[in-house]
Amino acid sequence: MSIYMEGILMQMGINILMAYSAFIILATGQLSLGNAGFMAIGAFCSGYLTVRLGIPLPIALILSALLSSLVGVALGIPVLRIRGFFLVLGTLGFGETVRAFFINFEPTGGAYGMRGLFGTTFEMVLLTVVAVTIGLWRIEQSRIGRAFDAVAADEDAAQGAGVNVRAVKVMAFGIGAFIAGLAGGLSAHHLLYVEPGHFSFLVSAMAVLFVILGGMQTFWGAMLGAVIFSLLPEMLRFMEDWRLSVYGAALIILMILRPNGLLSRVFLRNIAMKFQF
Amino acid sequence: MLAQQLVNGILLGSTYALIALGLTLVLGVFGKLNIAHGDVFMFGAFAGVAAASFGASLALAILAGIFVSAVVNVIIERSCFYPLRNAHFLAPMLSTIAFGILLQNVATQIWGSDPSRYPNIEAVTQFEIGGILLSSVHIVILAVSFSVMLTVDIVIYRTKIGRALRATALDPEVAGLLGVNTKNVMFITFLTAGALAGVAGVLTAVVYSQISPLIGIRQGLIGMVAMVIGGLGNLRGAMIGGILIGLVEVLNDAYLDASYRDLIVFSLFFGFIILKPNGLFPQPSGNRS
Amino acid sequence: MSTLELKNLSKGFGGVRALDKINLSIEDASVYGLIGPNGAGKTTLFNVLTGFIKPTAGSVHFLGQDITSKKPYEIARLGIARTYQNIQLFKNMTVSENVSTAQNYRAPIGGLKTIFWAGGKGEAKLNENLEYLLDLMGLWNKRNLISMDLSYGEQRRLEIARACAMNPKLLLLDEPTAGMNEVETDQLWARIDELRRNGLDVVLVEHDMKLVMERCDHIFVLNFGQLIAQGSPSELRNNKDVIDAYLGKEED
Repeated sequence: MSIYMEGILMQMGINILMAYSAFIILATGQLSLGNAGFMAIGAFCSGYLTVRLGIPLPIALILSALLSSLVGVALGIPVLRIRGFFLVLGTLGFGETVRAFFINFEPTGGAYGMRGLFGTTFEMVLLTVVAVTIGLWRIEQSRIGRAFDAVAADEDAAQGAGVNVRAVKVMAFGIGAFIAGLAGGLSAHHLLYVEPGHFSFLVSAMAVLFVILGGMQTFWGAMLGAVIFSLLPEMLRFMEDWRLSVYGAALIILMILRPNGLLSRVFLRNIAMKFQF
Repeated sequence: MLAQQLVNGILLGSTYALIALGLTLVLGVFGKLNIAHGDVFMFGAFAGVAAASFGASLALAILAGIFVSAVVNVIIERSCFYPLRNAHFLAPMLSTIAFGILLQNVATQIWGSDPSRYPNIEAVTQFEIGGILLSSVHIVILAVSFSVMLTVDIVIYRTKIGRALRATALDPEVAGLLGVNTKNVMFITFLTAGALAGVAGVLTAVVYSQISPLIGIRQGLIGMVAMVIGGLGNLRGAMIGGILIGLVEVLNDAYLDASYRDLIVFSLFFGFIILKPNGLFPQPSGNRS
Repeated sequence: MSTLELKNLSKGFGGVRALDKINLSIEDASVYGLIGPNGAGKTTLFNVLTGFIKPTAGSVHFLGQDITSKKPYEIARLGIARTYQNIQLFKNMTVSENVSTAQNYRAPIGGLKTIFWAGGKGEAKLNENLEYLLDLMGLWNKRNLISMDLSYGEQRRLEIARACAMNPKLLLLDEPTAGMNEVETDQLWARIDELRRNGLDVVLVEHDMKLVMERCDHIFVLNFGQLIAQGSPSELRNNKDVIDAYLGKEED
């Protein structure tokens, strides 16, 4: 495979992880527009560990993702108090605050960030994507997945069914932050440098848009949305400059015609049933 | 000197106030957030810059900005809000995120991603009042911002149209039953919100003297911060919130470090949402969040 | 030991006394009716019993345990299950999924084991239970349909099936027969009877007086947040307070 193709697929893998992080939180009915903040933590922390402390990348990635996850849980707790817009705005505020924090954080280079990061390989991205995919698949099949669905569908009824709604919502943030942290770390060591400007609201928004495009009801949708977005410029090379416009317009139309995104549970169920007999 | 900074802060803050006002109008009347509002602002700014580069006066440039932004906002209403009015309540917001990205890309293709300068305004006079330096441009900006804010305030709180808008904001069904033409209200609200964004856009272009296609992201965010601090859905609160943030930013740049600007503003944002979500001037409860 | 005991239970909202020093107890496998004019406090009482609202005074004791300050999901796991006036199903899930979600309450959600090893003997038992419940409510052959697509009556029965999946000791039904015709109502009652035979206590809020008088073993009458009367149907039939409460209001 050519280096060029590898690069595209690696970026696609990172996009998939970003989409997953937005998805798992959305799966409990919470919309986060601040996942770029978790990515930033993963990126800067892993960068610091590899560049300044010489720690091998895989270990640095896991440690940073864990840190990100802790922050996610820490964020999940206060935002439990707020609903609807406030929740969305709160995550937005969080993301921006994290970015602004790193602008002023000297140990990771402040506004200039850090250079000299390296080490993300195609295999590493592939392995991470496969591992997280399996993890999400098992969650979806399991009781936790049912609990997530219940919380998203109707929080009161979920309480009534014995689901600890608060724990579920905080867990979602923890898992989402972990995945975003992995994405951030992999991305930073792929791009060879990292700066706070990489983690703007736009990045958080894109992650959510991947999920909306592909389908909000299942993690396969998140993957599909990221894949389509990543491969679109290749397929429509002449349109590369207008890619974002096409993407935006397509989403607007999609929201009107098929608000749950391309893939829905029913759709997947029907396909699965056809393959069963 | 402190007084100078205060004036500068109010100047900047008045543009933020206009953005927050437009956001709050839509949020108040529809209970829905237009995340593309910042990009609507950006489009108006570019329209103003384009008009000015063809020799238009400031007044004409502002009109151009108003026109373009108002039109764009109505398009957003037709494509993101109206068709999704019965869908999940997050849906229109998500759709506006997509629209915003569309606007940013279109603007980049039309005007390029490098900053565009607002053409120099001739015949600028510098005034000095009690030790405070002001240019005639700044005075015009202040005059325009405050008269717009005043007009909106008067219209909303003292006219029939304003009453209709407020009634719809409190309870659309009842308002409809009482004879309010809710379709017109929607149209007027988005039109006005767009116009406000357009005014803010052109004024900002003049204040900063240059703009770029991604400027809307930050300005839109600041608008949201102003809204939250002032109290979601509270028009007067939004205006005050905007001015407050302008003051915070200018004072920070003067007495602390410019790099702390975002950190302070967004920490305030986050803090308010978690601890005091109803803002400084909480609204009596209607049926909006 | 009584199943449920309310001691001086009160709830105020601002200046309004939604519940005013309620004292009552529930025991045995019986069907209790909770009646009263609109605004009497019936749904508020349910909300307090299930932990969604905290009382301003008094206490709730369930199976000897003070549950007054417990969270809703804890109360659900202890054995109080409920249906809602407005049917709150998990709309996008299938019939089976709605019920199986509730079945999980005993398993500690969050254990790694439940993520990676779904299956095994525990699972088989749960499936048996699922089949029994759906069959009881006449929904087995619709188990893979999306719950949103069921008829109104079927949705109500699904809600009850889900509530029963919790293996509760006390079942609170908020207007379960609203919108049902005679045939459906009779069928529902037959099912409630069978549940009662299995040891369940049922409390239901109902506006259909005929139903309450015919089917309930014991009735509580609420008005303006106070328990104004209680007793068997025959005892209450000629109770002046009860008649006043109902004649004194405009419509049902």
